[in-house]
Amino acid sequence: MGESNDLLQGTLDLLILRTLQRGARHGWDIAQRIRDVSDEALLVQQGSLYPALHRLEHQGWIESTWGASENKRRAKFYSLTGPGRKRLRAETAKWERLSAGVNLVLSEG
Amino acid sequence: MRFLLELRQRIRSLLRRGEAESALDEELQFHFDHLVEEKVAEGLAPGEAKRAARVELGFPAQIAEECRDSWGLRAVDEFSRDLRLALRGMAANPGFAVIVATTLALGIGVNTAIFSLADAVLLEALPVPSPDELLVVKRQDKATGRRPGNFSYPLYNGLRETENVRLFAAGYPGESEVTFEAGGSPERIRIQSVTDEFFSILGVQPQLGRLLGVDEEVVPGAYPYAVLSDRFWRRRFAAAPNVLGRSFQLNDSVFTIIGVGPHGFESIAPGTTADVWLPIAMQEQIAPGSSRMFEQYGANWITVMGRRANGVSHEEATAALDLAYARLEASLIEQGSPDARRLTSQTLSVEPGRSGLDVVRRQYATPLRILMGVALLVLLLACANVAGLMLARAAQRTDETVVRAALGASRGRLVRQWLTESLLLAAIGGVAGVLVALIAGPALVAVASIDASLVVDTGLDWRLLAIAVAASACTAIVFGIGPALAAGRADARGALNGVGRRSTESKQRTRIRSGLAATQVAVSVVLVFSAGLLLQSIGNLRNAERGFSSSNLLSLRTEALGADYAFAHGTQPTEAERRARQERLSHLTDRLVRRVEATPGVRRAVVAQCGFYAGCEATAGNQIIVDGEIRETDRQIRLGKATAGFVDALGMRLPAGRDFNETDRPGTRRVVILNATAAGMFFPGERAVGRTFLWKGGKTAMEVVGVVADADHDGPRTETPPFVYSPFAQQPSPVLTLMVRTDGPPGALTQAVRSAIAEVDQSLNVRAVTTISAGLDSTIRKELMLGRLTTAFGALALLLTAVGLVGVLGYSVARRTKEFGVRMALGARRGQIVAGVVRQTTALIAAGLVVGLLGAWVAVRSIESLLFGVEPTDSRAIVAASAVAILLGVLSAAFPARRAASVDPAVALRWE
Repeated sequence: MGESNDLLQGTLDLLILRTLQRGARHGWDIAQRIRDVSDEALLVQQGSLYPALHRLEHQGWIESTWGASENKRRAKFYSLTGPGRKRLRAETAKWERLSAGVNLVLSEG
Repeated sequence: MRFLLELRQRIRSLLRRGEAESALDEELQFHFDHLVEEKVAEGLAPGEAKRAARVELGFPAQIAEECRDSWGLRAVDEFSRDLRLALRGMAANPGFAVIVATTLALGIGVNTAIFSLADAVLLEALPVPSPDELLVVKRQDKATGRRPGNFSYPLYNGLRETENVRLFAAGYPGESEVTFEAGGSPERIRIQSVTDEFFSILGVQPQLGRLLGVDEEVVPGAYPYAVLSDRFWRRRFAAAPNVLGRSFQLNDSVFTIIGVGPHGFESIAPGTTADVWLPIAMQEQIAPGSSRMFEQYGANWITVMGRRANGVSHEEATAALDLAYARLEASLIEQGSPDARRLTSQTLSVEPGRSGLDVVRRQYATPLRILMGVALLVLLLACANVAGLMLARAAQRTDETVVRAALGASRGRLVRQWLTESLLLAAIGGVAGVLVALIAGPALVAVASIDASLVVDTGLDWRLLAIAVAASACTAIVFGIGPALAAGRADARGALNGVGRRSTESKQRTRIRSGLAATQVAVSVVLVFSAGLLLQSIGNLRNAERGFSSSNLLSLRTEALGADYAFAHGTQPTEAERRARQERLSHLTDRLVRRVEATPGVRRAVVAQCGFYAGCEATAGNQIIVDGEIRETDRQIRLGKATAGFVDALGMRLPAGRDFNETDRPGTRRVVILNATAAGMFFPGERAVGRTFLWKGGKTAMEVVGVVADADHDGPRTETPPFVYSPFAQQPSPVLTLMVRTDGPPGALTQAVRSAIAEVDQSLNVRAVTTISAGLDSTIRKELMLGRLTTAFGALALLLTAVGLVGVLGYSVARRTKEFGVRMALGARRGQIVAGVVRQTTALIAAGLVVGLLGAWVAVRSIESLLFGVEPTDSRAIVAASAVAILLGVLSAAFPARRAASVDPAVALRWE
């Protein structure tokens, strides 16, 4: 278990959408990918990941299909939808504005 | 659009429930397996890895729950689960559910029934277009100021041409026997004859066929058409549309049904109803012998209403009618008509007719208002009962609540579940309440209406029902979820430690429950006390001194309207004609008395003009002339007429002088008997018998031959007015009331006496048949209605309170079982335990009794005007109410006390 690192509200959605940009992944894969890419700084708990996935699917930003995983098990693969891509662009832009702002505040002498 | 998509998805997910569930499980399992693999790869043993994975992942059910949440199914899901839980809870404890639902049902049902009844009687406006334009035309006696509601036909006819006002009239509704099929059995229906413009002026439209048209009145007897009321159509013909063209026989005529009135239109007098409306032109066919009433100014048998023209004010309409009246009066005087004096002695009284005729309302308004208060008290009682029971149940379920909270049920979730349960109970109670109202409505009217005077549609008023249901549901909900809120706030860990150790409970809750129980006792005391006073009043009214013997006395009113007893129409009768008619009428009464007295079972018979409690006597102003000087009485003098031997036959007391006898004939010296009040007013401090007096303006001296004790003529509440009785033979009238003293129950002889009358003269129509005790009851309708219903409600209140007390006390004993066990194990005797329970009850009852008596002291003010011969502080009523409250306490304590006494310490200690 990693140290507590509560993700900023809404950030998890952004991370999931970004992770799915390159193609369909299943839940476990998404969690691993976020962990690896962030150098283990961001650990996504199953308890927040799956409700988030179901919510995003319900909102129509991602869709799911059942397929075979790398070890030949049946797994549920999530992928971005058209609205999801649009959403990802909007969220990314928002995040950049936000983090730039935060950086400015922090770098101020 | 978006909403529709979402809805579709929700429905789809609802339909594919099972599929989605297993997919979710599979998805989470997949993640779990990966995590285990990873742990194993890190070097953990498989078992160890699984446990570590489980710890890391958390509670799978909760994750699944949160996922489901996003499907938008949670609400549906939880509701159905709550419903299942609630039903399961009810099945496990059906007694509780039955009591709560029954209590709610009674409270709701009684309120809806009473308020529907009140609504029908106290109707604000007739259900017709522009009711504000309507007016009621009455006569007003100049001397007394009395405003009788009845009118004569010629007077109505004389006013019909009034400008800016359109008048219509209706005969008094009467019951008659008709047959709908040839050879079928006769049915009694309520008939009202109406003038041709009745419906059109009211603005009433038919829902079927047509209503009586404008030409129906013109030729008497030529229009045998009938309009059914909506209510009768539904009841008798099940709303069959083919009723048009059917016919029925009434007396010797056949009437054809031409239409059905609109739904909701009952009559022009709220609280009464007609089954069938017939053209007034058919009056002779409806009541044979009555056609003469069309020409007589003295026959007041119709009621008159009207509608003022658009833009005409009530004052202008009144002025127009007054002018028409003055013109009519002037023309009668000019013609030298003997009827002129009738018009001169009275004037018109024009009143707003928005709410129709107030015949029933006048009688029942006060008792109905009081009954509405009583019904609200019953509702309050029902709510207190439900509140107490819900609280007891909540306390009982504290453990369950705490455990569920500890297992992760959120506070909102708990509250929702309690809410579901409460709503379910309220819904069951509401449905049962509708049933109670449907049954109680007609029953209430049956109890409330004395001699069928009150006829209303007790169809449910859904608005009222909704209010009552809402009130009960609120109670159930507030007291149902209050404890859940408290439980949600409680610290789960602390409470968990307390699970199973429920020997005592929170003081606050105990106090609320005891307060509720005491309130119930108090409300019951108020109702029982009021019922006691009212019942005592009724007893006093019935047993009041009447001045005559009322047992086994039958009264039949007939009218001698045949040609033999009438003067030729249109001319002033000569003195000889008068004398001849007098002879014929007095001969008729002689024959009637003789024939009826010959009927087996009849002891005595006597003919009076009005008898008792009919109030149809003429009045003779308030002045007489004694020894050439005017003496004034402070009240109107009433004129009684009776045949020989009436004082003896009616069991009146005769302190001085003699009874009428056979020597008092037409042409012999005019004699009278005074009642004590008249004697005291005419001849104060003097001996009346043997004195003579004249009516003011009269020429014939009358000799007082006797003085009788005052007899009650108008009901025990009315002070007897001065009465001057004349021998029927000297002052005959075509209105005859046969008073028959029987050996056995008077009602049984009705038919025999009717046929005896018919044998004497076929043309006599017998109208009002009643026993004197029924006649007396008709003067105290208000008191009877209020007394009966308050008693019924008092009984209901006691029942509810008993149920509530048994519930609350029984619960408190059950809860203390362990405590009792411990105490007995430590040496307490059973008697002490029982005494403790009884003491608890006693305190509760005492508090309720004190508050109740204080409440009764206030409440009694509203019924004071209906009491008779009872003081509002009557000690017997106080004792009775207290006794009832104490008895109630003892009975409801007995059950739990016995249970407490039977506690086996060994079992109690292992309780839970």
